[in-house]
Amino acid sequence: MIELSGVRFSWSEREPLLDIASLQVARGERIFMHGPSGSGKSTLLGLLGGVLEPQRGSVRIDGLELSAVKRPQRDRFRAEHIGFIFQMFNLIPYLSVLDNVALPARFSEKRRHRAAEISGSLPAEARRLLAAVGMDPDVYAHRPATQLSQGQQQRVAAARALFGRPQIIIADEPTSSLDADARERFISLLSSECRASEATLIFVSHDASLRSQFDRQIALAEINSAARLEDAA
Amino acid sequence: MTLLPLAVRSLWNRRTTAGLTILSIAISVALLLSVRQLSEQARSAFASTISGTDLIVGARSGDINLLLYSVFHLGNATNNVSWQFYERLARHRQVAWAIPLSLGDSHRGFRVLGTSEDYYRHYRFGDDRKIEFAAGRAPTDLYDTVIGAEVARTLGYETGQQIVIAHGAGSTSFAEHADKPFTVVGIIAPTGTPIDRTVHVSLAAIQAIHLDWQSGMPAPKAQRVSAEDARKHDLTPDSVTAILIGLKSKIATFQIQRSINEYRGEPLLAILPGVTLQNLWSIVGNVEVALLAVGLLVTAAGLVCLLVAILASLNERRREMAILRSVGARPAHIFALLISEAVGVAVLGMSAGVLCTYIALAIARPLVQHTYGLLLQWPAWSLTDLAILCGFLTAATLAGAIPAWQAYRRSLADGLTIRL
Repeated sequence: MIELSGVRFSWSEREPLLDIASLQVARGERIFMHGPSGSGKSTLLGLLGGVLEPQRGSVRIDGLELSAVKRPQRDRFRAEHIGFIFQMFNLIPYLSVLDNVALPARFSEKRRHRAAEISGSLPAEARRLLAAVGMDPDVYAHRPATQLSQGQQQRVAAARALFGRPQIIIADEPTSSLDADARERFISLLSSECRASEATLIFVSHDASLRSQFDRQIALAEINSAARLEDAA
Repeated sequence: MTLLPLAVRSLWNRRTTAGLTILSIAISVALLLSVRQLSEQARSAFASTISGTDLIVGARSGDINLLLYSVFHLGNATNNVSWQFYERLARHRQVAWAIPLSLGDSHRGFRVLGTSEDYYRHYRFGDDRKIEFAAGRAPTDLYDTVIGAEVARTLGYETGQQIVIAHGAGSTSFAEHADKPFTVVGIIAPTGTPIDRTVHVSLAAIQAIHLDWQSGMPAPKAQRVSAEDARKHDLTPDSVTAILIGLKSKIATFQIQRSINEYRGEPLLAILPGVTLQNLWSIVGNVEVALLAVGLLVTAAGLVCLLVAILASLNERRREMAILRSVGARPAHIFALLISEAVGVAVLGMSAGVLCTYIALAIARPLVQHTYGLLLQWPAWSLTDLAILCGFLTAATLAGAIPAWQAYRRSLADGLTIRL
């Protein structure tokens, strides 16, 4: 359960970038968040990830008030509960595909344990997830990340986000570098994997045509009163 | 534990830059360490060239000059000491032994020293070491010669070898005492002092080869004295180049020194070898300080190189940092990652530097021994060297803290967005 109330954030003192009165996302929901670039999507994700702190208001995830705890705790919370997928270049170039997928295990004990519980060992779980996102582990596991195509890299990033079953998957324009065909496949893959691990999915994109595959659509412009003010001006 | 493999692989990923940085650190550390080793060793080798000798007596010139030509066989004497004075000195009741030294000739670039058997009996160097033979014995016959270890090694001589002494001290000489060849009867064990580079003959031999010489040139054929005929002549020398004196009681040293310096018969100079060695070193020592300063500056440059390499990599690694942050790395992790990288590069560079020091020494050893007759030891690491290495590591860690701090601040500000 994600709850935002009265959240206000600005990079500079003068004008707020984000001003959200209320936002609620239920456990296991798959949300499509739509907003043009520069509408504060990335900032919102930073707030959800506990990397940014709102100047006002509260961000609660699974009952934990993020703004009430110290930064190291937020970092730990993020490591344990959230998997991120970014627009592009998600992978650490000097690690193999397998090591990239298992990367969250280095920073979160919970995810390390969960991954080991599911498949018996960390490499086994990484291989299982690679297979699930359509990357044959026998072929790709030990390839350097830099040898993959853009679409393959995004799929590996999805496998990493899912590694150790975090409750929330946040995907920030993960398909914008993919062609239409790959985009469809990527999204259906991601949603089915999220369903399988009962994770909440927040999928952010400026491309409204993708919304049909999600449970609910949120237009950032509608919930962000700061953006409305800007538009009015 | 979780970060170290990441740091290692990240470095490996940038191995060219990292390698060059390690190389520059290695060079700077090696330079500093070698300079220190060399000056340290030069100092001890210097101090151990002569020991047990209480006074060195020569014609009046400078004290350092006298030390250089009598002990190091460098340069030439301006004048000689008369044989009468030598005999007086040798009979003096305070004098235990007096070794006459006669220099001026050479053999293929090596100095020839005419001396008496007292030399083999009383000369001491290093930690009260005396002359020992690696092969053969001390000279007994007029045309016997004993060579230093370096002479034997360089020229490939063994006992029984016949050699010809050249007139003058140059490495190539056109005037040779070819009519009176010498036989090598002994090779002195390596001493690490100028002895290694010296050809020793008796005083009488020096006299014999110059019997028929007039003002530095061989006499016309008719007036030549053959090697055998020379034996019949009185071979007592007129003068010697310098005299080494051992006293019965050290207490008398200053008194004897003063009386020699004030001797009215001829202009003489007596020096205390230890004191003069120190004076000489204080001149050479300034070079040592200058070299050390250069070494420190080069080391500082090595550190700057490390700093630049890491700072330059920060921008291209911003994405990497953001990815690590997104999977749960704390800013402290990012800080630790960069610090461990700096420390890793510094440690590798220092290890390579220590290795380079050995290599440099291996190269310098034969050269220094050949040119100066000083035997360089393998590095004896002292606490100072350890302190230098620790200091360097600390400095590298501090230098690494600068980019680490920058990345830390940046990872806080950037959050999860990847800005380019």
